[in-house]
Amino acid sequence: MKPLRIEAKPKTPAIFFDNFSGVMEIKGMSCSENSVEFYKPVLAWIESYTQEPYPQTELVFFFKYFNTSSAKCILDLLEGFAAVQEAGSSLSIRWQYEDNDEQMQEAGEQFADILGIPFQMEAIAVAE
Amino acid sequence: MTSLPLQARQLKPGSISLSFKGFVNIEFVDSIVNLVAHRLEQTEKNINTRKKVFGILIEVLQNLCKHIDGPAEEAPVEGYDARSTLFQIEADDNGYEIRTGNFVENERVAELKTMLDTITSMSLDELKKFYTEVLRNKTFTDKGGAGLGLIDIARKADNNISYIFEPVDSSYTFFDFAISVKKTGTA
Repeated sequence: MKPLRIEAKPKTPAIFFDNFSGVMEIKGMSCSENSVEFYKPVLAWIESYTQEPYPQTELVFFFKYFNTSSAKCILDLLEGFAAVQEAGSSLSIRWQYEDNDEQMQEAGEQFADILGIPFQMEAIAVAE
Repeated sequence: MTSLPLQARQLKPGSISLSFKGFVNIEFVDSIVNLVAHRLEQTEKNINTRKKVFGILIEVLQNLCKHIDGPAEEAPVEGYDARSTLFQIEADDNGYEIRTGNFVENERVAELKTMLDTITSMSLDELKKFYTEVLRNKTFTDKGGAGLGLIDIARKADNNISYIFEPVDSSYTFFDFAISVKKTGTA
């Protein structure tokens, strides 16, 4: 199995999921009208990863913005990664958002609430 | 008719005024979103207001794209353009007004109206819970229910949304949807 690397595009985020370090980063915009299509291979990768995860899995999610069709997919991603715990990997989730971005902050809190897993919330200062 | 330079002078600094009527596709949506996002970067200092307006734009325009139906060009209805949608955004010192208009198949109207009636009857706190509930249960479809998008729009607009369903003929209703976002201080 190889790490998953996807370059950022105007409507889709950069993804770097590294099965050799257990660090899973996703960053940027997610507002494609075809979110399901975009995330399909990502979910497939996660499913393989959860079969044989690194002992520690750390998610670092930093969205500038996501649309509602992405919201469903992001929840699928998070739920997918939650399964690593059953395979014996510890899971930590860092939810980053632009400083003062109340919407992305609240979105993180809502995902944490749905998953029942506490997120480490991190406000990031972004130069305009 | 007012000369264009005068019209331009009458637009206050920081304002936005854009309206469009016609067929929309995803390339069009992307252009409009980029255009308005660019303008918002210049005029809207509050990051939350900016992201709210941006988010509403994406949701309403992607919705318009998904539901581009209506009377066929061969069978036009008087007073309407076939397969046409309306989109408008206006901004002044007080805030933003976003309006869309599109045809909805009559059999979808009841569901859409029930959803909107439910949303507008809710407090912001109830809306937040409703959003989480719909997201958690994934009780919506990409086409049809359109639940999560509408709840999201209402939340971003502090529930300042209004709508009119105007019967067109035996197949279609025209859906007129208006969303306001108030300006707040600088974050």
